[in-house]
Amino acid sequence: MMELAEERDLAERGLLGEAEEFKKIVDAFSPPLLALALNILGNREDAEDACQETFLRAYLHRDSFDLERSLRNWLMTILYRRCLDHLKKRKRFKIFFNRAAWECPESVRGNSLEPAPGPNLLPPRLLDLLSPRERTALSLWANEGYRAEEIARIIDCSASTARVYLFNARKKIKAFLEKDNVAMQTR
Amino acid sequence: MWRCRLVDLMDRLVPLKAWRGYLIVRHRERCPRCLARLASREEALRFLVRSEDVAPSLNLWPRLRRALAGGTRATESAAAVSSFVWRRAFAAAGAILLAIFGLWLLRSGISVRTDRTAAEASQDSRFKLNYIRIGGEPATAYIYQSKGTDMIVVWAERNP
Repeated sequence: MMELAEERDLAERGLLGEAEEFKKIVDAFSPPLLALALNILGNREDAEDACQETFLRAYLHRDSFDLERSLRNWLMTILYRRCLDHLKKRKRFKIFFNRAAWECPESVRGNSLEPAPGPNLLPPRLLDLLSPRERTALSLWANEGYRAEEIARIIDCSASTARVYLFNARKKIKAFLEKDNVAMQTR
Repeated sequence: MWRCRLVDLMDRLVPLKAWRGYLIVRHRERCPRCLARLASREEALRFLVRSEDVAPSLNLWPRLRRALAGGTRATESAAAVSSFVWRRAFAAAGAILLAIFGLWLLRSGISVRTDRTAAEASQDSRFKLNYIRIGGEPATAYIYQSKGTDMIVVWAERNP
């Protein structure tokens, strides 16, 4: 992971300079951001869109960034919000699609409006099992080594609540693993 | 063991996040038995995408560069449009306020004038009697005006 001083230097040059300077920030933070987005959304296309929107917003609102803050955390916070927006959009689409499917007569239902199911990176059952906040907390903890206080700042809640999200996620994964082990043994 | 069960029970009895967070800090993060019921970092990573997994295939910059060029232009024009809209809105609000104020002034002026003319009119049409004397001595006067008529009756009485 990048040192704080290095990160600050990158933020100063990337955010205060020209668009080309911003490329360094994109190159440095794309992998962790995309990993987080994939863990929240479980779909590559949506995750890439969310990352792109995150960088775009960061660039357009670069004046509001406080150089004393961590650039990584700022980007993660923007990304988390973008991912929630994507999930809301997806939910609305699903509701609309379900209604459209219900209202459409059987003969008209030829071409499905539903997007082709993307590769879910978390096992689909587990993806459903964990809430977006739990997935975020888990990903930040396991991938980035964040503590509850840092997770709380990103998902905009108290440290205590972030701890609960992380605890729930870890507990569910453990239960899933144990269930999986039992199923493997009985097979 | 009994502590873990007690914490579980308290967790279920009061399902508030702040309380649950407190239980985690006070007991669950420290108790090896409770920790064994949670997935470790390595176990969690088995289900998660890591930065290293996505890095080689990732090149967001070309897409982003195009979007940045378009986005900046869009934002600038949006800002210009929004400032124009705001200026128009402020001007319209100012004009409406001025119109309301003018109307209010006009109405209050008219009402003041009507009040004054009514008062003047009533002053002019009022029957006035400065004094009445009978035989060179002041006398008591009674003035009657019946409703709906212009007739005024003056009754004078010599003082005893």
